[in-house]
Amino acid sequence: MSDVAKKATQSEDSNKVMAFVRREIGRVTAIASLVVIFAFFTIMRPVFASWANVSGGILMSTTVIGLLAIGVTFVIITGGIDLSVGTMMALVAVITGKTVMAMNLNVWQGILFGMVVGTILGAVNGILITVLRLPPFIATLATMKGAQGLALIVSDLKPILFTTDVKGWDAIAQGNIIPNFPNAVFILLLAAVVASIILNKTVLGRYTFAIGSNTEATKLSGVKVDRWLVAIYALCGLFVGLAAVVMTSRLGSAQPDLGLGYELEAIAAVIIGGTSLLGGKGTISGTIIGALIMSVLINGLRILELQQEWQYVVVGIVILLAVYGDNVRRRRAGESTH
Amino acid sequence: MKKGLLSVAAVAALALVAGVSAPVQAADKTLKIELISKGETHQFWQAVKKGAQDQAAKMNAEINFVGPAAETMIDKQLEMLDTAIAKKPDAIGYAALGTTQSLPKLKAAHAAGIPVYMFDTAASCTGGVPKLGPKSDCALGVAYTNSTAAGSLAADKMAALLGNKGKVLVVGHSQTNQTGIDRANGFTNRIKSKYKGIKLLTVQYAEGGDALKAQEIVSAALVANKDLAGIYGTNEGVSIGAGQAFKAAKLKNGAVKLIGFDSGKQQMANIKSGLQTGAITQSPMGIGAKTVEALVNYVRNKTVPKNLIDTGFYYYDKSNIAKPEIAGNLYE
Repeated sequence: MSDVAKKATQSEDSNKVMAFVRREIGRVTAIASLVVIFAFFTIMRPVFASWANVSGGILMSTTVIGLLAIGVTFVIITGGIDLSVGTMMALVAVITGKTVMAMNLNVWQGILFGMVVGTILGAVNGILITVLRLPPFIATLATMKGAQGLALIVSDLKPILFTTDVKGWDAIAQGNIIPNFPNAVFILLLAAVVASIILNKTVLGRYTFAIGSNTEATKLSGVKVDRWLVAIYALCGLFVGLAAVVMTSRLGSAQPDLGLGYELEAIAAVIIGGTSLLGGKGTISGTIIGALIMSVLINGLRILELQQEWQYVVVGIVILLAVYGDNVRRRRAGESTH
Repeated sequence: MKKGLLSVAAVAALALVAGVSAPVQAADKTLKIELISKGETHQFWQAVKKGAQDQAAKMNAEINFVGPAAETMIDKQLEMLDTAIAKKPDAIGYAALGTTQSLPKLKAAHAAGIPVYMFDTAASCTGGVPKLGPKSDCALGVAYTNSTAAGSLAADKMAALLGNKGKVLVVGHSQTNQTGIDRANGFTNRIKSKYKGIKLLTVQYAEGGDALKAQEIVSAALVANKDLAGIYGTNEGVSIGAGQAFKAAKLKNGAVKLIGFDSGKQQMANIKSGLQTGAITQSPMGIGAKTVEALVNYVRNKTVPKNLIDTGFYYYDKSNIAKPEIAGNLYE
């Protein structure tokens, strides 16, 4: 046994090292792109780099998409996809808004409630995928439409206003526990750290990678893949719930039609961050960097007052470049590409 | 009750005597009208629906009011138009999202003998509004707010607030739908031609009236232009987002003037609190009511409606928000 086993451990070790190196290179490339884009806008308009813009403009704009993207990262690493995060966020927002108003919940209860509702909705996705054996793309496309409709129905087609009735709801995002640092950004960072720990240090994280690398092998090794998948989609839902809370706080209201299209921005952030659509690979920090690249770019183009239609074109080109660059690097490294 | 029965009996008897029961039955028939709006969510469309429903109830008609979930979904709305035509209703009311894409479908409705009256936004019919009428294969006419004039009114108010000087940003809610274009252009053209002291920044768009995007646009603009004096937002979502950006930047109320569009609970609260300066409101219930009225009169009495019914608009702020002529057009 000894020889074979030793070899296996050795190659496993070297694989681990290689995987680590590749991951780091991916992140370095992403950070480098971020720095280049940031430097470009700073030279064009120095006010771009002011703290007011960095915190209130760039970082604040990253919060909602960033939280959605963190959730989607787990799902994409399993080789799945979640198209429902945008409209699910709208649904969580209106359910939370209605409940907070009707039951007179305080801010903490409201936050908790939103996260619980998000988790339940995420679990629904997981159950559809595992019990009904639907491909994630189809299952979450269905729930995306369903959630869109339900958000309109639950809200009775009206935005739900928070600020005047719930004391402190707008402080969730716009208050400053740390001076000059919006709470929403603090929440995003905290969520990223927690997500990173879950992904890298827990059983759930290990199985997330295992399922994405080889579902069959994971199943054969006795892991109850279906249960873990439900848990992973539920975890994605938890972050969607948190995104919904932050969004309603930023707007002072729950807008029932706001969210469609956000799933694609979140997925773009994840992919730009170096997570493979094929599954098995990905990092939370990469996702955050991906989300930052998007918001730095959009904020910068707005500050330069580029015409809107050209803003779309530039964003499209940058997504292409980011993913193409990543593909080239992976191909050189002998990895599969998405 | 008794009197009603009697008169029905009298009419029936008269009809029997005259030997023409058909027209009476036609007049009694509940007309089925399909109304295809541009959205459902924004309370504006809910007010249009309410106006239409009330009018329909008065005139013995039934309406089916539909609209896509977001104002960006042109394809979805065209499908709804197809479905409406296939149902062969007595009449169709249509608010154009796809101003050119809908033309073949309107032609099909005309060929099927279903009269169409447009509301809120006209499709790009050949020859424009003057060519509309019973002979047009596009529509009988259009009931709408003159959005260009409404945008110009916003410009007049903004110039007065700023004393004809300062930097102003326009945040639009759509680059593709005609209402969005007219509201923005009505404002910018008026500023350029009449208020040369005001400097306009490049128009930015929170597509679909996305409040979160509007907030991000305004936050960036406040950073990039320390001397920003005014913002004009072309719909409810944009106005809400702009107000929230003011809050996030901890601006003093009135430091930057904000003129919005339409109403809704949050925008009205912002105007009352002073966070937002004022807004332009249309008469959404009037749009719904006048569309239904025109269609029912045409189908039942062959009264040809005007090819253009202007349903009006108003500027309101803290001082007149509660006055009846304004309050009647606002919706929470």
